[in-house]
Order: sequence, then C-alpha cells, then structure tokens
Amino acid sequence: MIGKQEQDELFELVSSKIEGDIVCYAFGGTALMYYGYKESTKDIDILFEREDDMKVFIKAINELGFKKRALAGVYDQDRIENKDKPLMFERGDARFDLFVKNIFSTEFTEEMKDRSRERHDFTRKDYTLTVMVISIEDLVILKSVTNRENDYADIQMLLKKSEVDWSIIVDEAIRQKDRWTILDLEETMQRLKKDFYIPKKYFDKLHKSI
Amino acid sequence: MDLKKIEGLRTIEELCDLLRLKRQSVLNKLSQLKKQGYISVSGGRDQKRIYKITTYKQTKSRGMFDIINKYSKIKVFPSFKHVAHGKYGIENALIDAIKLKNRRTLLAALSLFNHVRNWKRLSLLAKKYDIQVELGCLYDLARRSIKTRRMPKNIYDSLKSKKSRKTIRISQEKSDMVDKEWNCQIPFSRGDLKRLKE
Repeated sequence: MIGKQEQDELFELVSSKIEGDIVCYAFGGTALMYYGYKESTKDIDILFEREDDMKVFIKAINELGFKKRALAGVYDQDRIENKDKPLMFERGDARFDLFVKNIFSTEFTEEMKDRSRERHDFTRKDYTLTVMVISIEDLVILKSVTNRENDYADIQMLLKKSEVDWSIIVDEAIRQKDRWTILDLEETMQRLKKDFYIPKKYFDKLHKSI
Repeated sequence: MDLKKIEGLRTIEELCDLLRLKRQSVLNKLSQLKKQGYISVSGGRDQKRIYKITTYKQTKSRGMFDIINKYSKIKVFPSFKHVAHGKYGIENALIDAIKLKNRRTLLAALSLFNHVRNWKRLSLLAKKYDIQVELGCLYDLARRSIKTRRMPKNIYDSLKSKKSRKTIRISQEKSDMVDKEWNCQIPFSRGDLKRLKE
C-alpha cells in the first residue's frame, strides 16, 4: 500500500530521472487519493497517450529499481488476454500499472482528457512529469468496467461524497466503441439504484443505445 | 456528519440552521472537521468568519492560479486544480497562463511581469513551448499598462526575432485588436487594462 505523500515523493523522484517532459493520466486509487477520498492505494494506475512517453517513464522507474512483473494473481484471465492490458512494475510495496491509450477495452477519449479536473506538475531537475487526474464521472465508468468488489464500494463512496453528472457518464459510455462498457455500466447502475437516486431517463438512454 | 449537506461557503448561523444544532455544538463539530482537513476558515477579528467546507481534504497547493492570485489585483477562479511539486516559480506560472489561452487568466497574469526574476529561464521556457511571440507581445502590453520590470534587451530582441507573418491569436477568443509590432491579436479592451491598475 502507498499513501498520498509517498506517491507524490515517488512521482517527484521519477521526474528527476526522466529524459523529456511527460504527460500522463491518473485514475483508479491514485485519482481517489488526489481527490482526498482515499488514504492509500495498492497500485498506481497511470495511462499514457503516447507509447514513447511510457518508454521514457519505464526507463526512469527501472533506474529506481522497479522490476516488471506478471499480471497473474492481480487480474483475471480475461483481462490478462486483453490486448489493452497494462504493464506492471513493482518495488516493495509500490506498484505501477501502466496503460497506453486504452484501459482494457475502454477507450480514453478526447472528452475524458478535457474533463480532467486536476493537474500535478513534478519537476525536480530539467524535465516535468505532468499527472492529470481524470474526472469523478470517468472514474465511475472505469470502475464499472473493471467491476471488482472493491471498485463497486469505491463507486458508492464517490456517490456519497460528491455530485456526479449522470448525463456525462451515460454519454461517455455510449461514445465508447466497446459495447461491453454500456452493459457493465447498466449493471452497476441497477445495483446502485437501491441506494441512490438515478433518474429513469438515463437507463432509457442506455437501453436505446444497445 | 454529512459533509455534502453543508458543503460550500458557510457562516456559523447558516450551519446552525442547516444542522439544527446550538452554536457551541456546531463550533465543536467544525473544529473536529478542521483538524481532519475538510474545512478552512477566512475572516476573523472584525470580519465575519466564513467556513469553506468541502467533501474532500483541502491541501495547501502551490500552482499557477495560486501564484497569479497572489500577485494580481484581478483574481482568477481556477478552472481546474493545479498543484506544482518541486521547481515552479513566477516564470513557470506566466508561461502556463499563456499556454492556457484563457482571456481572464492572461489578463491577471500580466501582473507577474513585475515579479519576474529570472528572465533567461522565462525565455527558455517560452522557447520550449514555442510561445516567444505571445510572451513578447504580452510583455509590451503589460509595460504600457502597468508597472513592470524591464526585460534585458538581448532577450527582448530574441523574442522579437521570432515574429511571424501569420497573425497569432493569444487567447481562444477572437479579437479585432491587433498589435502590429508583434502581429498578435490582443484579447483585452482598454477597460480591461484599466482594471489592472485599480
């Protein structure tokens, strides 16, 4: 497990090793920590738009002693076989899950990029590592897709603590090329309906799009 | 306590009404939440205390908007949260404001020209992001409108050498006013620049 301060220190350390400016997007537990909704996380989930940026990042974390590890034991077989699976690097308690362009089958769209709510710049030497934090709405989508028990609990916590715009969530799911995103989201919304008010029109919109 | 219910800027009286508690009980709860980081307070002494309550923990950040709001008379409401860790100064904030292309942020950032210490760093950053002409144009504009420090001549000349034939738009908004010296569209009116002085 890694706390927010340790995570920031780690990013700052990485920024001292990179050989070029990098922009990446934080989601999952990392994003929840930045929003102040979580104290610690098992893994640092990061997405890169460009593969070259990821290579620069990997070179820097290799210098810091992070070693590549297998996905088995962390993700299920379906995800291990997914073409958009992450690369995992580990050192002690800290683990990076690095994705490029897509998170499993969910596409990281331009709209998702524009909705990023926080920007953290880490500059220790010559280059800057910019970590953008994705919006709460997009976190709900991604957590619906990953669909682990902890993810559902995280969605519940997000809805309790913050206002979410369901129209953004539904529109984004429909925009996704992968139809499973809609089905996963609909399933999550059906479960959430017992504890939270979600207007019927959003269910109708999802049903029509399938 | 349900923070969502009391989120926002609140006075003690409002909170008493919302929570249906006595003043002292509310103060005790606020004190607890402040320790946990969910509340920051402004005012005090002669001014009424205003409690900023959020559902997330508030951290003291140091980013572009904090630097601009510290030095400018025109304040900017952040369109996103920006936090800088490590090296980040006035020069970086000025460059980030130009990259953002937001009219109000640019106007407020003009005040930073009076606090730039490292002109070389500023020009290197401008070169890195290819915004030398925008920087030069905004510098001239700031110099004509408010008190600013003088940019070293060699740096000013190097910015000027980047002037292109194509008219550059500094902000996202279109403007009819063009600075012929730099061939840039200026997004501010005279009234805007006047507000910087007040």
